[in-house]
Amino acid sequence: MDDEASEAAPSADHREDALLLEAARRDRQAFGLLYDRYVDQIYHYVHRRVGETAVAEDLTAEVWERALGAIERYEDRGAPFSAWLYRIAGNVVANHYRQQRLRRLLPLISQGNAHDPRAEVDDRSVVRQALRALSASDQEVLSLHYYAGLTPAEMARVLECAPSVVHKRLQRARERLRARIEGDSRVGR
Amino acid sequence: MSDGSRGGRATGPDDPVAQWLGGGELVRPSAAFRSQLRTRLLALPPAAAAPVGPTAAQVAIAVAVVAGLGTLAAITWTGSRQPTEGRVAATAPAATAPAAAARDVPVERAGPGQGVGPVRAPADNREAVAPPTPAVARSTAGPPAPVTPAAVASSLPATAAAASMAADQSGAAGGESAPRPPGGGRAREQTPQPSATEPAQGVPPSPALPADEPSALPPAATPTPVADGLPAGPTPAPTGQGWPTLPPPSPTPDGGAE
Repeated sequence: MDDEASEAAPSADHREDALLLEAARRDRQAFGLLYDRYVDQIYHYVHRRVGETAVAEDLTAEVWERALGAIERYEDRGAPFSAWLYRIAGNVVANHYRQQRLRRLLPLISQGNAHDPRAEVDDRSVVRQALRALSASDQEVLSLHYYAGLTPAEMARVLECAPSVVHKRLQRARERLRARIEGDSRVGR
Repeated sequence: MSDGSRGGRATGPDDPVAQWLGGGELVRPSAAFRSQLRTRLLALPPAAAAPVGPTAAQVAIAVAVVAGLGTLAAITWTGSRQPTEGRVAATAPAATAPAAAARDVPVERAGPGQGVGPVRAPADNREAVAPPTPAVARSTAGPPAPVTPAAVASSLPATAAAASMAADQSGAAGGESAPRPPGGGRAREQTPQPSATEPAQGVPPSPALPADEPSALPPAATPTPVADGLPAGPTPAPTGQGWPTLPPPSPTPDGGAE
């Protein structure tokens, strides 16, 4: 299985990442190389989760700023560097949604940001809304799998759990999302 | 790790969730955003990039708060101690004022029943606080027996200043130094003593005297700086609280003649 193959000895990419990380702790230019290597993946993941380019850019920038701030505390535990970045990105997106919920609780602010029902309603946005209605854990599992395209073994490194656990979580999250989307009449099938 | 361009690859076409969530192509950031963010990241100062631990401002605020609390606690503690200070000091064997006064000024110890007048501190109090016997022995080299004012005067340098100081200190030593009649009532009539006691108004009570005897407090408070700090100079260094220049030196204070 490719899952087990992914957990094999560190790949060339991983070794290269390790060298870059070591250099990035002392040299900002080396951090730039890491940035060049992973910025597209992280942006894609964030964009798929939030659906808006402007928001995705803001959150992607926040992800990289956090990564830069914490690069000296990064410990290589065998997982690829991108797993760490995905974890940061997941936290940033979760915070973003948390803040959005708080803003909705404030009537004066929410007046300006109220959701317009006449806004574009396509299947993708409805699916995204259904995804947001899930728990943070379910959102993360589904996003890593479907948006970032990670295998369960790779997700296990991001989520720091066993691949079997990832399989179960993924299955349950998939069922819950399916139940929500199929219950929404706006989604064309 | 996969590059993200394979969104939804882990599922087959029969997975509706994969159809809903996956299938999209890799969304790339604009080149402008990419380079702008890169430039910004590389230009970030290390302190801003790694906000670990408290900032200098936070530390300064914490220090100020701790210092303020400490000051407040000290003020509160001092305030709470203030009312009982007199009582506490009165019971404590303070060796400062009376002892110092007794060290330099030979004092005639009032015998039983002597000197325990209504105005002056009772002799019992002084005995409990600082027995003057060693002082007497040191300054007069005589026996610790009761010393008469004449002996006091003779033991001191026969200068006007010394005599004045002796008289001063004798008054400062709680008004007991001046010889008194057995009844002790003479103290109020003696010329130097009233002048020695009056300036003590407003002076913090002596720690050696009980707080419940206000008339005894003032004279006991003043001697401390005078007796200890003054050299045998010409002036007894009044505190400015009405310590008058004593009358010309007389070998024996008023009461000493008796």
